[in-house]
Amino acid sequence: MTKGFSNWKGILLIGLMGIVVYLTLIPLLMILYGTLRDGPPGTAAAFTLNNYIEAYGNVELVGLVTNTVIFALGAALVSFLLGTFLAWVTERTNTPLKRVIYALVLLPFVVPGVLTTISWVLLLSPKIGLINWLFVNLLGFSEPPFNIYSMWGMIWAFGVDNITLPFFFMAASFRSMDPSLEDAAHVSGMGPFSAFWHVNIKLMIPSILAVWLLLFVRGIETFEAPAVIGIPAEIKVFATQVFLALSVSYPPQYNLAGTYATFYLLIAVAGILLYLQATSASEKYTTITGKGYRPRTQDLRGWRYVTLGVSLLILFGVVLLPILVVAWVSFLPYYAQPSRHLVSLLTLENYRSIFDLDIFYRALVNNTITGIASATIAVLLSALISWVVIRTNLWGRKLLDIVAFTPIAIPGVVMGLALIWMYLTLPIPVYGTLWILVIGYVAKYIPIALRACHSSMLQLHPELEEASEISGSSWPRTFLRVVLPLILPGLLVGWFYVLTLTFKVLSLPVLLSHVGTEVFPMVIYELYSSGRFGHLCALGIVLIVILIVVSGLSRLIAGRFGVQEG
Amino acid sequence: MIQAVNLTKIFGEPHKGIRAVDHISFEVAEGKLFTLLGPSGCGKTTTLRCIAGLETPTAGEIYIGGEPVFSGTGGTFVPAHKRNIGMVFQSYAIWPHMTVFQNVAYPLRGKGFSRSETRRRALKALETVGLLDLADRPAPKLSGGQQQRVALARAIGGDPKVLLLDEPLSNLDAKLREGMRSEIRKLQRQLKITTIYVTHDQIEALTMSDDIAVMDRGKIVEIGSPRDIYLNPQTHSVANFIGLSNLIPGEKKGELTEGRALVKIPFGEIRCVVEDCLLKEQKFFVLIRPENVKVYTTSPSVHENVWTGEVKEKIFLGDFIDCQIAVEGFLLRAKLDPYMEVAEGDRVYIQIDSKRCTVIGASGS
Amino acid sequence: MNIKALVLMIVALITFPCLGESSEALLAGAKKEGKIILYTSSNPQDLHPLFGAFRKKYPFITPQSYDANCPELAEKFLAEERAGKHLADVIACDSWDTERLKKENLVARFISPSAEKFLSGMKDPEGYWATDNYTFYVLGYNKTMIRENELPKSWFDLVDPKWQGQIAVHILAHRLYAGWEQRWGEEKARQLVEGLKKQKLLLRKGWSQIPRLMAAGEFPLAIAFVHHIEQLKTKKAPVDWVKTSDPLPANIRGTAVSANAPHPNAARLFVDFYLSKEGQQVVASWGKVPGNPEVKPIYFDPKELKVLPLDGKLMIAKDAHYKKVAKEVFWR
Repeated sequence: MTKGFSNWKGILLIGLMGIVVYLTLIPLLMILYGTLRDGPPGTAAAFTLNNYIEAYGNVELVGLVTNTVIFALGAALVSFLLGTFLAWVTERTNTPLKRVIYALVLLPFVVPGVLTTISWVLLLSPKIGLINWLFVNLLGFSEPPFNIYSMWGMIWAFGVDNITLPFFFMAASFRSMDPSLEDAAHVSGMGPFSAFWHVNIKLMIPSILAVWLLLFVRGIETFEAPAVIGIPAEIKVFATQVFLALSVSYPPQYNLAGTYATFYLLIAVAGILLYLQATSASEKYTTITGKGYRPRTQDLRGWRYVTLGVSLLILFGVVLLPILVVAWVSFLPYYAQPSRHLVSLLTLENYRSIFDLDIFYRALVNNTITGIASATIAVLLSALISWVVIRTNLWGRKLLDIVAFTPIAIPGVVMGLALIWMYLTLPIPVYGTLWILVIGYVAKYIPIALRACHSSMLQLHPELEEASEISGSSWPRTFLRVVLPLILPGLLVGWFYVLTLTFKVLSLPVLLSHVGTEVFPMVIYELYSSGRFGHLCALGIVLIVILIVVSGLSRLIAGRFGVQEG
Repeated sequence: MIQAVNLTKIFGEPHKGIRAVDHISFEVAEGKLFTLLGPSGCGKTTTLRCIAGLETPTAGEIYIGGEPVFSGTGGTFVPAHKRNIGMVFQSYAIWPHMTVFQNVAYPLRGKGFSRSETRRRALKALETVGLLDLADRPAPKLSGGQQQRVALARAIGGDPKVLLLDEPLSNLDAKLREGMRSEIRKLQRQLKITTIYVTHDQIEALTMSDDIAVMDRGKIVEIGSPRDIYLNPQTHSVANFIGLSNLIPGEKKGELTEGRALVKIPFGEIRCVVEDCLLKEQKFFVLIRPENVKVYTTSPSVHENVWTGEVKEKIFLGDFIDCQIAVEGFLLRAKLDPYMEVAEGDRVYIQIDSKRCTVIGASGS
Repeated sequence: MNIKALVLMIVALITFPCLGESSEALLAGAKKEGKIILYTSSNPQDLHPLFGAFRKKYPFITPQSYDANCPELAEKFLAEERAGKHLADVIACDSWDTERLKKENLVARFISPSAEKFLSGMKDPEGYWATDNYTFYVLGYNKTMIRENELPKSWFDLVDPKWQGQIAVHILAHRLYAGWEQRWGEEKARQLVEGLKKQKLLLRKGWSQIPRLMAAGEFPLAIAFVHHIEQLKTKKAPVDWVKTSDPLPANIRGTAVSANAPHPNAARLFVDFYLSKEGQQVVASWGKVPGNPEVKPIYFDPKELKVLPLDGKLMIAKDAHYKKVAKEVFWR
């Protein structure tokens, strides 16, 4: 007979809390401590409030915050609407050619962000933009109709680049819907739109909130669009200030950058509290039950060609256009508008030189190893944390979620520095190996994997676990054989997203990496900053080809697991 | 076989929380089907979950097979997966990512049976519920009734000591429900497995149980066999809950002779069955089941307990006519033969057999 | 590294600032060490031929590099050193970064024989670093958009109203301003700044991006680094730069040996090679301007230009001031 009732659950919570605190809270506390000092760690620095005064005591702040919010919300709206529409088309309708749509949506994920942002400039700049050129020279406009250098331009360039995240999340959510609930709505007299709204949207609120939260935080943190488009447009956002602190100041003011991070932190914590509040009545959202669970598609009849057309049009305008620009530039020695003369300059030199780089192969191998390890660890930890937060009612579980979420608010460079300090001083021999990168990635990306797991975990009916428990399975067996397979959509979303981010994001590894442990974003950055833009474009195209192959393979594999479609 | 002693479960603070289960005690003998019956929120499902080990009671004791699986004072708690219980959930909880066979085999593998033994048992269980030919079908491709059977097969595959069923029929249509009722009963008798059944449907309770415990607001109001509960409910609330009833307030009028006494009621005096102890009370209720209110268009030959009344409402229900008759202002409900021709407003005679009306205490006997 | 080499090195450092005499000892030590680790902001494509040439000369030393942006590189180096982890042998960064490291006593004093003839301004007078390569700010132009005879010949020509809205500059280009101030003094430099404020400068970010956009036709004039423009020229883009600007402020780099280098002998050999004619010829092939005055960059002769090396010490000391003034004109 065992004594004690829920002890083991409490131990699990404490264990997870320990890991999360180690991974995220300690660097965070170091950074916050740094914001109160006027020098880097290891030097004789004094306590000061100057950082806060400089960061927030500034009259420009109101304008900055307003711009930041408009930009982040606008971009989130664009990403969300496009991503959700495409998710609905692929998951819940009988639109043909879904594989094509699916493949195209994944593309922005793979292409380095700096490429797509610059592509939009090359498309929509009033002076040299290709689309403007078309409108003026071929369609007879007197003035170029589009100006990328505006808030709209910023919102568009960033929003369109991020449609993959909402697509993934909402698709996973759509896939787990119980159509009998919609049927009930139809029978009770609601037309299709009304049923969709009342039944579907309301049940997907956790996913929707998660997506918005992630998109919004990315929007306030990102610096690519604000740099390439915002600066010429004289629109400054919060991230512009962080850039000033880090890149323009000499020496770089990491403490000041950390101080700006507190703004992001506040938003992130507020956002997650809102999310937890909204999803606390988790029973509302259980749709994966054991009965009548048959995800199924809606027959649109003739309209399905319309949805196909609209989807392809959207994807062309949003995904293919910038990639075509990238492809065009990849064959040129330098960028210029199309002309007969330029066609004679087409060359394969850019492609040849990528394969000459031996760092390319080393970085590819390193990145694949660290990426897969980080994604897997992050996703498994997130599944456990998600389970504790949603399936138990232990005291402190919401705190666990909040603490695990905070790294999303910390700029990558700041986090990297904190981690360097931690591991240079702690007697754990990870500095200079791939492991410190894995630790950094896991800490930074658990927030995303966690939201993905939550969405699926909320939809899982607790009786499915209880049935396993009753049938004699201990909890680990239940978790592995029942919970994990059923939240697989969420897990996979998180896994792919984290893996791809490790290939794209430079800010974290730039400090954590070392001789021999370089990773892919560093190759991207080096090509970009040394002026080898054409090579970078060629690299982007190569990545797309790799992605198409990998995604085709993985779709085959994923189709074998999870729930069979009815 | 199963014993609950002073079982209590409070959700929330000990003093301010919701008392879902409030000091209930009952016993289920081996091989019997025991039903917990009551409206939603009465605590029946919580009680079941306590027995299963899915809820931790606040106080009390639970014994299964003589061994304590929970003891508030002794600090014992056997976790659910060690209690060797089979359970069918209200939502069936069939795992959608497995086939029918896998669903039934999963608990068996978990209990440590070898592959061949698991296969044997699983197929046997599927055969018992009549789903052998669907063994390889993926779970989501089953109808409601089939899923329910899978849930049953899964529950009994490991030869558990106890079977728990949480409103298993509430999601099925009427015809299917009827069929499944007798099937479950047959299965239970065949396997001789001690079973606790939870439902709010009195027909299920009455047709399937060996004993019924009627619950209301966390307490057991009455325990008895279906016959006792129906014919001789001990309290007003049970009488009201089970079957259709006429409950007429009454006062003692005469003395007990041959187990019957005269009772004063709003529209006269009625001779009915009264228990000795109830006579001491002055006020009580007379229970007359509508099927015992005989209606005649002409004056009946029997003279005891006869009144005239006016038909106020009648509804044709197929196997009987549900009729409301006003007797001096008091509305009585009666069941009429479906062939009888009466219209609203007709004057009729009603007669009640004194053996078929009983008296219930005012507050709960 | 072993005690013997350490002792030898300390003795050598203290008594012989020039290591010509103990080059035997240097070679012997380097042979034992077998490798060098370089922290640099040059990229791997460029380093490939450099390392190739180095290995030809010293086949027993394996060179490895870690590449990152200068500020991050210096931070990383600092963090490691402060924590007592000595991982880098040679650090090649901007001179103000190297000066910073010098202040913290993290670089060693080593006067490479190759650097003896370096011009003043291209090496540390106290012998702690020397310039491996440098680049300078120039006024670039798009040949299809401006005729040669219309070009602004000096910085002051830029305040002509006809260039309003035509000049692209990097946001907060405070080092450009620092060059003007270091050449003319604060008063005259401020005059130029006041004039530029009215010119509706096109502010952009990305030093390599700006000349590319100029080549594409986004604007006719841009202030950029000479090596980016030269790179575009080799690809036949219609761009060039004004050679008569005075001054041409130069971002000087400083290559130094780490004070606690794990492979000190190999480190010195490498730096010496890097700064020698042979190493610097590789640098010239990158399109950058070699620090060694005996090696000319491919497309022009710096002796004919008014190059002004930015003073590293002043860059650190007056950083806040330069930024403040630059913010007035190069920031909106």
